[in-house]
Amino acid sequence: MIVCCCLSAGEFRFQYVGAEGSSAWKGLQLGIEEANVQGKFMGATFALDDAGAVAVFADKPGSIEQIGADANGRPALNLSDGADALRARCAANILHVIPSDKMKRDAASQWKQKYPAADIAASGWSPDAVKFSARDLNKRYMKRFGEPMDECAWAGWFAVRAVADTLMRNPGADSVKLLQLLKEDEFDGQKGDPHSFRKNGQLRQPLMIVSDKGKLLGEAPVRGIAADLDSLGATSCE
Amino acid sequence: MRLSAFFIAVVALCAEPTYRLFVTNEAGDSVTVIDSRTGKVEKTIAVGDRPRGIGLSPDRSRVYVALGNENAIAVVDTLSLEVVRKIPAGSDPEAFAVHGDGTIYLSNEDTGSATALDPDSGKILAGIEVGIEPEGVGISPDGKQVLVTSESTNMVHVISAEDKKITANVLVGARPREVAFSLDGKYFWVTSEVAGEVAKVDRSTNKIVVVNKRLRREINRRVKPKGILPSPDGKRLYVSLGRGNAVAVLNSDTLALEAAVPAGSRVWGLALSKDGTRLYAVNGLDSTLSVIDTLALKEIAKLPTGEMPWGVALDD
Repeated sequence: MIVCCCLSAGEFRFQYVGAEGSSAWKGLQLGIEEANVQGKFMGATFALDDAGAVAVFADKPGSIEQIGADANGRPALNLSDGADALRARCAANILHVIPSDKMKRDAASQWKQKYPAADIAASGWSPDAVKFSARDLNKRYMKRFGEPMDECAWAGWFAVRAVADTLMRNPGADSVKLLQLLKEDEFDGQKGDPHSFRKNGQLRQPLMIVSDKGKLLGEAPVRGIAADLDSLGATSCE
Repeated sequence: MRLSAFFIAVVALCAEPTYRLFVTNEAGDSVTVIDSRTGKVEKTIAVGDRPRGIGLSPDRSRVYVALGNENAIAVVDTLSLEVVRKIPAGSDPEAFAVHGDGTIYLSNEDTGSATALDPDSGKILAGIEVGIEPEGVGISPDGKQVLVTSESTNMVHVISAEDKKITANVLVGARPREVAFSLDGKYFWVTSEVAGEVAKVDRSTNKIVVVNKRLRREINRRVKPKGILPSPDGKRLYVSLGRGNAVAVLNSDTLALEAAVPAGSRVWGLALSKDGTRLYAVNGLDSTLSVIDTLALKEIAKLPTGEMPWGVALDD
C-alpha cells in the first residue's frame, strides 16, 4: 500500500481536470515551467499532481460547478467556460479566468459604438498582441508549442502564474488562505492594467478586439467609450 | 606642437562635457542628439534595429545603445556622433548599466539572462541566468553589486560583481522595471509597473522596508511606475509614470508623494543634470522629450525626438 506522504514546504501540486493537449492545458504547462523559474530562486517547485494539490485548474465547459464542489473549498480556476450563469451563482471557491460571455458582448458593443460597420469579436487574448509585453508571452508560447497562443492557453498560463506567485509571497498559506489571497490581490496578465477577481469570481481584465479575419484591432475597454475594466461584464452576484 | 599634442591627450582623457542629450527611439531605429543648452536637435543617428537602453562610458567618450533586434550594443562616439562599433551582446539586449570599471551589465530580455560585457575587448565575461523578461539594471555605488529586475518573475536579483553570481532574490510588486541605489548605497528602490508601486529595499537585509502603493489613487489610475532616479542631494526620487503621463516626485526616505509633474504621453526614460536642476523625461507615444525644472516642479519645454522614444542619457 502506498502511504500518502506529505509534501515539504515549498513543494506545490496542482490538479488539472480536462483533456491533456488542449490549449488550456498547454498554457498551464508553460505557466508551470515559468512558475518554476520563479520557484528556483525562492526554493519552491510546482507540478501537476492530484495528490496534495492546493488548487484545481479546470478545462471542462459544463462541469465547472461540479469540479468546484469536488474541490472542497480549494480554489477551482475555470479556464474555458464563459457561461454568464456560472458567474451569477457566485460559488465561493470558483474563480473564472476566462472572460464571461457578457464581458465579450460588452466589449464588442463598445467597439461598435465607435466603429458601427465593423464585423468583430472580443477575446481574452490575441497571438498578435504586442503591447504590455504581450509580445514576449506570445513569443514564449510559440517557441514552446509551435502554435499561436489563444485565450484558453492564456487563461491556463495566467491561472498558474497567479496561484504560484501568491503561494511564493505567502509562505505557509493553505488552500483556504490561498483562495482569500487570490480574491484580494492584483496580478500581471501581460496585457496592461492589473487583473483582479470580482466578487462574483470573474477575473477583471482588458479584452482584445479581433476582426472576422482574426486580426487584432484594439482593446476593450474601448478608449473614448469606457475606461473602467468593470464596464465589461457583470460585477456582482445575482 | 608638443604642447598641443599634450593638450589633445588631456582633452581625450577628461573631455569637457558636450552637454548633449542622447535619446533612443525604439520605433525610429535612431538616436536623437539634442544640445541640452539650446534645446536644438544636432543630429539623428541611424543607430540600428530597436534601440532601447542607453548609457555613457565612465570617461563619457562613448555612448552605448542596446539594439534589441541586432543582439548588439552600438558604440557611438560622444564627440563625432558616429557609430564606431557594434558589439555582440547576447540575445535581445534591452537595458544596461555601466560599471565604474567599464564593464557593461545588460539584460537579455528574451532569454531570461544577464550578460557582463567588456566593451573594449568585446568579450562576454559572464552570462547569468535570471528570471523571465529581465529589464532594469543597477550598480551599487561601491561597485560590488549588480541588480537586475525580472519583469515577469516579479523579482530583483542581487548579483555579486566580483564573481558574477546571484547572491539574493527579492520578490517585489508585479512587473518590476527599474532600480536605483541610494547615494550612500544603503538602500535601493524598485519601480513595479503593474502593481503601481515603488519599494525601498534595505541592501543589508534585502528586505522591503517601505512601499508606496498609493500612487494610482493619489495621481491617476493609469499610473505605471517605470524610470527612477534620486536627486543629487539624495532627498528626492523622480519616478516616471508611463501612461500616468507625469513624473512623480517622492520623498526618498518615506516614499511619500511630494508632487506629480505633468509631462507627455507614456513617460519612460529619465535623465538628470549633474546639478539636479533639470530633469529630462521621454514621452514614448508623442515622440517628445520633456524638460522639467526641478525647482519650479514644472515642464518648461517639450523637445522633438524620433519615433517612440525609450531612454535618455545626458553628457554633462
